[in-house]
Amino acid sequence: MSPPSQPHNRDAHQAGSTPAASDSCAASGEPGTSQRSARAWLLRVATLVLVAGLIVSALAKATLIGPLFGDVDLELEGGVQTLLVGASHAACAFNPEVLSGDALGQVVSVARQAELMLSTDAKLEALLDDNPGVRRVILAVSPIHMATWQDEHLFGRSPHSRAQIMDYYPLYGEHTRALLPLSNPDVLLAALKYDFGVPFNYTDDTGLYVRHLLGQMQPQHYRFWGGYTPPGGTHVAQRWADFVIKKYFYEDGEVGGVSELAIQSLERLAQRVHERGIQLVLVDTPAHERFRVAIPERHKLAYAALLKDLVERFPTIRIVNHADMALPDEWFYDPDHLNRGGGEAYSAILLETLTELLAEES
Amino acid sequence: MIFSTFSFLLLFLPAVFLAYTLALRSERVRTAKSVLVVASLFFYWVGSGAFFGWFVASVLFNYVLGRRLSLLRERGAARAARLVLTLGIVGNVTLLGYYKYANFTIFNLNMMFDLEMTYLYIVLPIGISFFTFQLIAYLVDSYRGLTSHYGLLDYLLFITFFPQLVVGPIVHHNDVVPQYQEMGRKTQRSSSIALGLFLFSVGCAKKLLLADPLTRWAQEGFDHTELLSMVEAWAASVSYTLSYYFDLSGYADMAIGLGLLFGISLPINFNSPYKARNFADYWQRWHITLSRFLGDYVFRSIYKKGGGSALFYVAIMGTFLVSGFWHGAGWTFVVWGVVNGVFVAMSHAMQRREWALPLPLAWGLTFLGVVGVRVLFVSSSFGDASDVFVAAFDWSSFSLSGHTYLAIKQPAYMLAGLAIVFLLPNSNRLRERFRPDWRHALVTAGLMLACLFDMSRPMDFLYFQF
Repeated sequence: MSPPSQPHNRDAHQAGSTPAASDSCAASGEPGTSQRSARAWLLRVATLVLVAGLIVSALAKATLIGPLFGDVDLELEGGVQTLLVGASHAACAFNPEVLSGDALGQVVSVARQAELMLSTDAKLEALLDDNPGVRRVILAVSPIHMATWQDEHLFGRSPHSRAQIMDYYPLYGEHTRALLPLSNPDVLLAALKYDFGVPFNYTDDTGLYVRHLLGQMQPQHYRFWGGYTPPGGTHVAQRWADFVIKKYFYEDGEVGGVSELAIQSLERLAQRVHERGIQLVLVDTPAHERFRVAIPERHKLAYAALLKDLVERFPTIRIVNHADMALPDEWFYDPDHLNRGGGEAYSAILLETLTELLAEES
Repeated sequence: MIFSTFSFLLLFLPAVFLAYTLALRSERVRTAKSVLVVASLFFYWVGSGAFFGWFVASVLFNYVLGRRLSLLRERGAARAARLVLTLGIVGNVTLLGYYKYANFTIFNLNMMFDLEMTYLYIVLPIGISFFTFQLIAYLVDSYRGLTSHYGLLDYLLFITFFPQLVVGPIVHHNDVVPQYQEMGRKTQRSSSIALGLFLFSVGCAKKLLLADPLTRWAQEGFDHTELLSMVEAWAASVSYTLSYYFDLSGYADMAIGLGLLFGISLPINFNSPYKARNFADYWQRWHITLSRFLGDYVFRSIYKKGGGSALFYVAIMGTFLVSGFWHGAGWTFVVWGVVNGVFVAMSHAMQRREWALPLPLAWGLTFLGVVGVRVLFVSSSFGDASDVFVAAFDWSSFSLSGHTYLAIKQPAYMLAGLAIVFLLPNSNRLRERFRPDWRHALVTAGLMLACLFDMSRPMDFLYFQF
């Protein structure tokens, strides 16, 4: 973009010269010999990739992937009584430190951004199996949480799909795995990694491997774990509200709506918790007014009908509806999520509500 | 579709390669070209969604205009040709303008006149900035009478050839159409396939093993600019500087490698830009094909030889202003373009006066400048950029521990990245030194394997957004 003098790329190959004339291996001998040696070279590379790949995979399966992901141990220290679960709403609004205390006992957050209900259910199952002392599960839900982005993240062959399947696959039971579409290459890749040991994603896993080898692996080190992770800052202008709505619901009547898969997963989660005698509290976390008014009415109605049906089937479920709670602008990160300060302040309000709720029940 | 994914590497590429090779071996050149065109259209369709129809219409529309321009030129109808050319350029710029700048315009109108206009839900079509440049260049050169001998298939291949369609290198028709016209049984040779595979593995490793993790960590910092400490601000800025280079040059290596798999030579796009000793030098090494395009079609349309110093500097500023707008619809990009223009103008002014700084100082200042303009480039607002600049020089926040937005592995990756950038030969050199021997086989297989084993979480290429 400078005045157009030619780039002084003394080592540059310019386009227009044919590769056969310009590439160095063609110049390294007789043309026929050169082509033969190139073919032999290609065969050599293919063999090396195949053989080394098989050896590395076998070693990885035996020494790292098998022990680390084969039987995921999620036992928590300190007698945890309450689990905070869900996707970004829970990760931004539920501060476990504020919520821990006499009313809820020791509280741990395993909420994670963009976590599908299907994955929340799978994670909760593993956690409840390993932690029989848990008495209460608090799950953040909302119309947007149950929307069809869940399906797209799973079936859409997007980076979200890859992240969701690769991260959570070890937790998925037979039932969940049967739901996963085999047409999605990500499912195949996850199976290859966890079932056959092909160490996909090894750079991300390096930290886990090192901790595992040093005997310092803890449940919270797994990528599916999550926690209380609200962002800082405030972006609640109308254009952000429009953007967030369009991002998740697109144009009304086109793609949005309540996901059947999310409904089934939520019902299974409720059933699971109910069978274990654990209390389930569904919290509709606060959303900014600009966001609430933009949610299409039919999504709200479908969502309300879903909750009503759940409560009828599982009467022990408690619902805390804080969606319409008017909170200061500066508590929000965007129109749909609280920020760090907002999460902390809101958790104090939620604790009061839950304390009253539990007192009424007792 | 991203090159560094299993679906591309294990499904798309082998299928296209096989069909193309069979067609060429049986001397069906038109079939071979058709295979590449259909594959390229499929490649674009996968990533472009609803825009695909517009893309095809635009490509065909430009072909018709190009033919018309050639015809008018032959008949000496200069005025009509100018009209057709204007129509074509306006059409291309309008399409680009709608998809890229409509919401930017609404934003500015809302700001200036206190309006409440609703933003449009527009998804930026992948690669639109790149192929629009190629289409405009084709029209301009048709007007100049340089493309009259191009057939439809060669033209389609020039615009759509999938290795360079979405992120460049931006090819001039003269780079590739003669190769398509000469395509034959000997176009695709084992030696070029071997070299292509080697370059592809180098590019893939740059992208997956270096650019992706560095981008993730840098973005984490730039998402929380108001909270960054001094060390974090520098780490995020340098990480982004490195990741942009590895990402874009990695893509270029892969594109050139893929081209060679099909026997097509694409132009180089990078030549160790961070070794530049001033900004003029930097822009001759960074995104070379974009520089060439802007030089040929913007700079030269403003400045003619003997036009005087003032016009020379005006042309530089004009060129970089266009570059800023081309890169993104936002005032940060415009200012980024202006700052680059000022730095390049300063470099030329110094060269004309034969002022030269000692090499280490010149290089150091240039690299600092590159990091600085990268901060502007990646920040979502001037406020974010300002936060990063302030934090970078805020000694009160200096600390070697307790960092939230500095990943554990980040310093090691940064050091490795800097070492590769400054100490190792670049891809052009590697290409020159390539021999089909055991050493190169081990390197290629090792890089391919390392990439394959780290391919489950690929990120989009950073320039997909332009």
